[in-house]
Amino acid sequence: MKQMGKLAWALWFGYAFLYVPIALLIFYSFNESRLVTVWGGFSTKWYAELLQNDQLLGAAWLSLKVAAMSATASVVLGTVAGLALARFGRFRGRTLFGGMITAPLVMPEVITGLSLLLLFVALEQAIGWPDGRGMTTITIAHTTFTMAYVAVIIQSRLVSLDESLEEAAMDLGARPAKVFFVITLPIIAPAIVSGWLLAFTLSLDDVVVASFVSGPGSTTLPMVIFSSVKFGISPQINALATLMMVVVATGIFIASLVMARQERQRKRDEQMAVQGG
Amino acid sequence: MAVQPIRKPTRLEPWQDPGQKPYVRIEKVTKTFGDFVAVDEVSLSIYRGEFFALLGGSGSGKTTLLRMLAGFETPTEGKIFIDGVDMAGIPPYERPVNMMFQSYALFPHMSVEQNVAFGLKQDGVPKAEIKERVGAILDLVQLGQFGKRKPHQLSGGQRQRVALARSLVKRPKLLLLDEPLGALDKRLRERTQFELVNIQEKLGVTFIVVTHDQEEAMTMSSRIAVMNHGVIAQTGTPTEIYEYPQSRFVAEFIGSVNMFEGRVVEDQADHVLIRSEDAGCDLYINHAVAVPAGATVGVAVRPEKIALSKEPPANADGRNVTSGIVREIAYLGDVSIYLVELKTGKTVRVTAPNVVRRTEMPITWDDEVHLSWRPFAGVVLTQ
Repeated sequence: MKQMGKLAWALWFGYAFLYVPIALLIFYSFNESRLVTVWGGFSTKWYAELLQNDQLLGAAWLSLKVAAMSATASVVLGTVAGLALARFGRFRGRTLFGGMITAPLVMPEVITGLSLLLLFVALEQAIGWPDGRGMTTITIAHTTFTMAYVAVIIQSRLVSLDESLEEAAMDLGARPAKVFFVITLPIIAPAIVSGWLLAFTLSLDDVVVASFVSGPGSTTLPMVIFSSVKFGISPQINALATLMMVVVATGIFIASLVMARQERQRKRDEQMAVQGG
Repeated sequence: MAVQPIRKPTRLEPWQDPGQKPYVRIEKVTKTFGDFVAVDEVSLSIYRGEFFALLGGSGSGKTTLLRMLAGFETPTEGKIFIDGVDMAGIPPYERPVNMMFQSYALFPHMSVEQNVAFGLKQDGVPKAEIKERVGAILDLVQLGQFGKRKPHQLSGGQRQRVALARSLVKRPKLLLLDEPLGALDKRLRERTQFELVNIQEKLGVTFIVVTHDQEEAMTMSSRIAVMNHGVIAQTGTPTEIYEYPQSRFVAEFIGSVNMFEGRVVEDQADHVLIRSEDAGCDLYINHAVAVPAGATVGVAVRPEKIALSKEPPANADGRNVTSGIVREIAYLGDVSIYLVELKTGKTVRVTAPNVVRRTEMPITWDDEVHLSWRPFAGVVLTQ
């Protein structure tokens, strides 16, 4: 019993460590006072003001666009890379490529950002593209570093996928390209979706890489938040953060609900099948 | 154990008929993976309508050989002909062959009907015909009402039949089956063996089946090739393989066997006499062997061909008769297995049907018993 009590304390402490800051942020978003840390009574006025703030809303919209585009691009590239690593047997330098695809995961973001900035400047001087820095360069930069995550997810899914499924399709007369689109792709679709979501989230909250490769007039939401903190934080930011959290939490909640239901359905089906002999 | 083939030979079998052309011809095929030789200069001829079994333990190369027929592996050396056409360079999707996978490889995102229709769709068969053929083949495997289900909503036996239907629906001339019954439990396996043979005979398709289960190979196939370390040890009908194994490996792999070592003393046209220290008696066998007198050979005697008695057998001439003490008895219901320790120290396995009830059996532990067998029971093995 005593042991249980200690464990319960450890649990509470751990969760407090994780969630007290977030709870504080939400709490102060309903603060009447302009000063973030002084409680001045309940109010929702910062939410109303947020909706009038074109700079913040514009940045949010840009961030969403960049996140969606780079997630899509990195899913395409990551799937191709994952497929090559998981399926084409042993080609020369496979281990090297396998290691190199995961290197961006551990590369410091400042270095990624700096190297991409240098590349874009060099490219602009050499071929005149990309013309200045803005949404295009941010999207490309985000694609580069999120692609590595997607490739790892897809590769591990493909490795666990029974290769005889693809062989069976080929045996039944489907050409390799058709096998990929009709058999492999639908089966790994969940991995692709989760890869896309991960890439989307990574892009959405990146501030370091974006700071290097963005130009005037293309400021993403995390950059706006980060820079506004330097001049004293406005409760509007709290309101915005709360809204973002609500959106993300709802998404995750619905997704896990759907998955749990599917899992239950599958278990029921399997039991029925076994009983049905 | 089922040793009698369920097929009754009615005509000259194709492999005995010199006028027949083999449907599948494997010529000196070798497959290496790095330094490992999976298949070593294998040659085989398989005829139309056969139910041919490739039998061997794991790592014997049987599955690699099957995958080369399907086109998933390329032979390092040698050639494969199917219906007279050299298969070199022909990809799996253009071969007149279908395969049933050990894991069944059912597409999890498609219903049973869609799984079965997949092959026909690739060939551009009209929709109405697809529907008709899928329905017919599902009826054949008794899954008519399950067409709309997904693979995970089926039991193991049902999945096996979907996989069979999917590989048969394109009406291939040759069907390759990789451990088709491996994932089923024992009862279901026995029932399915007969179903497979019935379907094969009904459709007249040539089956090549890979299995590690010798009983399965014996009951289903018209001929068996026993494989060991990438080499074919022996090819023959189940009866030939069981009754006349050509090597110690085959004798020991198929069923159980007692091996006696001995020296040839007399080799005549109609019999051979072998003096065996192991057996403690002379072994008389009513067929000739082409070995010089004095050579050391092995003699294989199947456990069910040895008779046990408490009294010495009548008209015993000291040949094929020995004695020992019963050390172990395993009661299996229909038969009992006796382990008898001979005076020479060798342990011999004897299988006897339980004609009387267990409680009334005359022979029990530590009894001294006499073992005897007929002249046709032994097989001389020189390899």
